Amino acid sequence: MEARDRVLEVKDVTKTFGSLSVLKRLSLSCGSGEVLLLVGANGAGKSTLLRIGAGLSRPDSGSVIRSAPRVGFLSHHLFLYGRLSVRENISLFSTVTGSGRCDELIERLELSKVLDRPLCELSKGTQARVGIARAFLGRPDLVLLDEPTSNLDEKGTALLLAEIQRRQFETDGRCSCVIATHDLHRMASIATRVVVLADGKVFTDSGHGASPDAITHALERYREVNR
Amino acid sequence: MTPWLLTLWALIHKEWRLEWRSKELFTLLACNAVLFSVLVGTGVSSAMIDAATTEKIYPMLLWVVFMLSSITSVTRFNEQELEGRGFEGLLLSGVSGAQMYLAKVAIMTLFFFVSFILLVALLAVSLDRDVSGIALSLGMVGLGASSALASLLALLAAVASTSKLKGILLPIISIPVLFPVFLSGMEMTTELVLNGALSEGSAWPLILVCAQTLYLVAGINVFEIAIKE
Repeated sequence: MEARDRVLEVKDVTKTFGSLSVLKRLSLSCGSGEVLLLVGANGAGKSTLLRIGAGLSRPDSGSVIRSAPRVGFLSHHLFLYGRLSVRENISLFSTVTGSGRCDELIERLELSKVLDRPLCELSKGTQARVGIARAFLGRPDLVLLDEPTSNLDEKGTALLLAEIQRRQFETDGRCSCVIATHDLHRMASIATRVVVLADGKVFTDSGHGASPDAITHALERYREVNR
Repeated sequence: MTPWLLTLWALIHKEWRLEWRSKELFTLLACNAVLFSVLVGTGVSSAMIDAATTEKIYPMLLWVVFMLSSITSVTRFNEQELEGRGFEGLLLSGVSGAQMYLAKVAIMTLFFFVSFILLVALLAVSLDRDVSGIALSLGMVGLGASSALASLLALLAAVASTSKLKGILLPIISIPVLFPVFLSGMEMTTELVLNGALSEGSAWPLILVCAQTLYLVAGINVFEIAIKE
């Protein structure tokens, strides 16, 4: 893959929390238009890697190059304000990202009926949908999703997958996506690459533009390791 | 309006709405103002201090009470940012630390100023002082000091909010650094109470402006580092 095709590249990244070493000289890159599934056991370093990729956390050593100008990030933390209504939250984030009106996005995520309710009074699933709206408001070129389906039901997951595919369509397939998940059953359908992390390092990588067989093989290796 | 200012305005609006919903800062400031004023009034009256001495100590009491009340009220100011990780959401959306900081300074200045006015009135009543003749000048001093206080406390509250010791860390780190604001505010108030106007060539307004500039420059440059992991 040419350097110009990479939207995110981490090189020899290490990160420790106290005495716990989470990432150990990990190197990984994500190409333009790639949907990269990041899998691994709890504590493998997936969330830390995504936070470093999003610029929310600094690595202890190593380099991070992010060429995507707009990044969307979604995790079990909503990055929203519980005491503001859904409308106020969306209005705030659409103003600061300069994305203007976002009625269509609200309709697509079926948030119209809860627009004037405070976020903290909504169910976890509905809150997660507002989180999806926030992540896609800025029309991102790179979407980083950390356990995005943990609070979503089947319908919510379908809406998320549709939003990812829609964004790829809007960008002529140039929008990249890195998804850290344990929900292989639902997320593998859109993956173009699978990377298995173990003990802070890349354990298996199906490679860029992997065939469905290569993806299945990588996922099977992951399942074997976790058995 | 430029996109930068539009974002700043949206953040100020957000801060206002959050405070309007929770009313935490205003309630704490108002309660502290009443509590400290009553305590000071009771102390002065039970010590049977004469009117001339009361006039001399009024500025000092006003500024001690104002500083203590403000510092103790902002310890929970960033709680809602931390609950939902709003800071990180804004950083991810391309908002700069400087914009977040300035929005907080604007809202804090407003509430500190309102609490200052309240304190001036409460202390004047409890110490039986008439400050109506210098109200406007005193208001200007209060506005300047509120703004300087907000410039520093917005930054230090963010630094303290990520610490396990946030409840006690803020007073410990802010009181020594706020001394120029305290001294200039107190000296200017003394000049106003005793002479009815600021003395010509008084250096205290300049000291207040310098302190505020220093806090603002530090806040604009350091706030983002303070809130990042």
